[in-house]
Amino acid sequence: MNAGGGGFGGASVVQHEQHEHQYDNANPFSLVNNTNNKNNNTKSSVSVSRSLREWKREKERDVMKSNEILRDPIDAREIFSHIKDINDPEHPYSLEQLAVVSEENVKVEDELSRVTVFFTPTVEHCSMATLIGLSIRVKLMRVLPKRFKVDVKVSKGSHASEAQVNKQLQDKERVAAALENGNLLEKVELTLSGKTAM
Amino acid sequence: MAQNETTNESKNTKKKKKKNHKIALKATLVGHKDAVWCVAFEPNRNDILATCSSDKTVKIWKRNVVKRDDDDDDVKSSHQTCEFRCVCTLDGVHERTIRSVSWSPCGRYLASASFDATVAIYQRAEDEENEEEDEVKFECVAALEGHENEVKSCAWSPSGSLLATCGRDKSVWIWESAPGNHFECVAVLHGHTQDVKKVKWHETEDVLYSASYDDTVKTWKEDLDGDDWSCSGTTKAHESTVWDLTQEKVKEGGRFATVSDDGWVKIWKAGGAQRTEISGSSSSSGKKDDAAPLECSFRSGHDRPILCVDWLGDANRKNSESGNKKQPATLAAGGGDNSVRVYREKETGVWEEAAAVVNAHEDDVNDIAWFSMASEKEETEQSTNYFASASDDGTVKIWTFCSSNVDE
Repeated sequence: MNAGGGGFGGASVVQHEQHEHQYDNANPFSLVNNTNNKNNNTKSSVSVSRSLREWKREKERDVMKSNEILRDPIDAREIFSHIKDINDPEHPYSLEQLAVVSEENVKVEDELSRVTVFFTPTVEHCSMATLIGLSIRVKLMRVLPKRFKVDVKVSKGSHASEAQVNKQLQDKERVAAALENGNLLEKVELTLSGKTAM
Repeated sequence: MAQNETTNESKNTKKKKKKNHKIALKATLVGHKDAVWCVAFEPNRNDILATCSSDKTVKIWKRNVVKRDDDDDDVKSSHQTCEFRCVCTLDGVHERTIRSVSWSPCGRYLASASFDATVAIYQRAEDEENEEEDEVKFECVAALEGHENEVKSCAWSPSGSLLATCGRDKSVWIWESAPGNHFECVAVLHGHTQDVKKVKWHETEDVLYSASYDDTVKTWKEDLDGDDWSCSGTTKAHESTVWDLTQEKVKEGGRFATVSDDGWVKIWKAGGAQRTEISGSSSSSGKKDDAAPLECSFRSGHDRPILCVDWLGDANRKNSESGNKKQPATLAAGGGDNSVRVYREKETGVWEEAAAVVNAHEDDVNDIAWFSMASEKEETEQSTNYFASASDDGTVKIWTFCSSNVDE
């Protein structure tokens, strides 16, 4: 019985610690989400199952939000700064050095809380494309406020299996399964810490 | 394949409609420590539901009952009765995310499918006396091993004798329950070219449907001699992953709805026992009469993948027995854009969005399910239906969908 990596290449099961996502409310990048705010109002008036703790947390969040109005919105440069130092899985160079990622290929719609990162594998048949994409996704999941929806795709025409790679990276179930796969996660961690994974 | 695009229409009429149709939040169930993937109501009683999560637990929730002789004057039954509390947490069984839970039709068994490649069967303790004290007890009585890796969905057949499972290994398994909590695999079905996301049984018959990452829906039937199961129809239903499907809950089973990563909702015609395939083209099954063709499709308001859909059943229609006019066909859907949306059929082949909550959750909505409640006083011109949604934000929310029975 082999519980694999959610479709990101087979691997055996390795127990691993669950990684805390760092996009909590204290994150300096979190911003007011207007639409959410509206909804929260309706929520508090009708929801009854919520505990007092939850209510307090929401209060704190509201205060946090009002403090954050003054902060700058997230832009492409900021996203780029988070991902540029991710290492290529196979080469001792960063994704920036290999021109796999660039600021121009980061699209941010701050108001809609959407981020799209296009990356360009070094070769058309790069077998590491999904791993690179997964690393970018994991990095952004950890640093961005939770409100953001992140899409990671290969740049148009840059990969022989563009559609497959994109579909795989977009499949939330496969990504979730991949992140529970110790072996695969280890590789991701290596690229995130600036080392090659292979 | 006529594709009636009703997006513009639904957008135009949305403002008008919203006066008559409304989704309101009733309760938020907090308890899971990670994404909630699935919500399932006990089939025979709508005061119990099961949820499963990436926190590797299954939770059983029970609706609070307001006692009339309570001396608390502030009791407002309409609010209180939507409240659910966790009465049982099943942990230590799975090692990874639990993706799906399914009740047996009798409500005595629960199956859970996990990314750890196994399916667990839990049996409810017979002890009915504990019921009053809110102790719903379940015991894990079997572990089904066979899938190579992540199991993504499990579903009990309407007869209760069969359990279907599917997963990333592209296969669909059918298990038969035998006395003594033994489960025997009676079929391993291959045919999908990619991981299988969802299995669902026909409402009344032992006919199985599977939805896949390969963009198709397959129909599986037992051969006439009863020895083997085989695929009796394959339909390329969507342009991308088919995340969920649901059947209209009418006698003998009705139409189907499928939802997809491609943002479309599709409605498929279906007949009785003779016509059980979901099929976009008659050539796929070879038997023309068996084909249940596409009735209509519409682009949903979801601007991310649609992940879940549930057809409102007659049993869940609140006022159906009180002599009110029958409600039109109604679907609830949730998706990767954090929204929940309710669609209604205006006339055959024409659907419109009746109501939506844009930020229903703080993250993706993974599952949605209608349920019935019969306790509240209501204005007679209104009908109220209830549904629950499960999200990556770790919560389950209980909603009402109120609609006016007065025709526009």
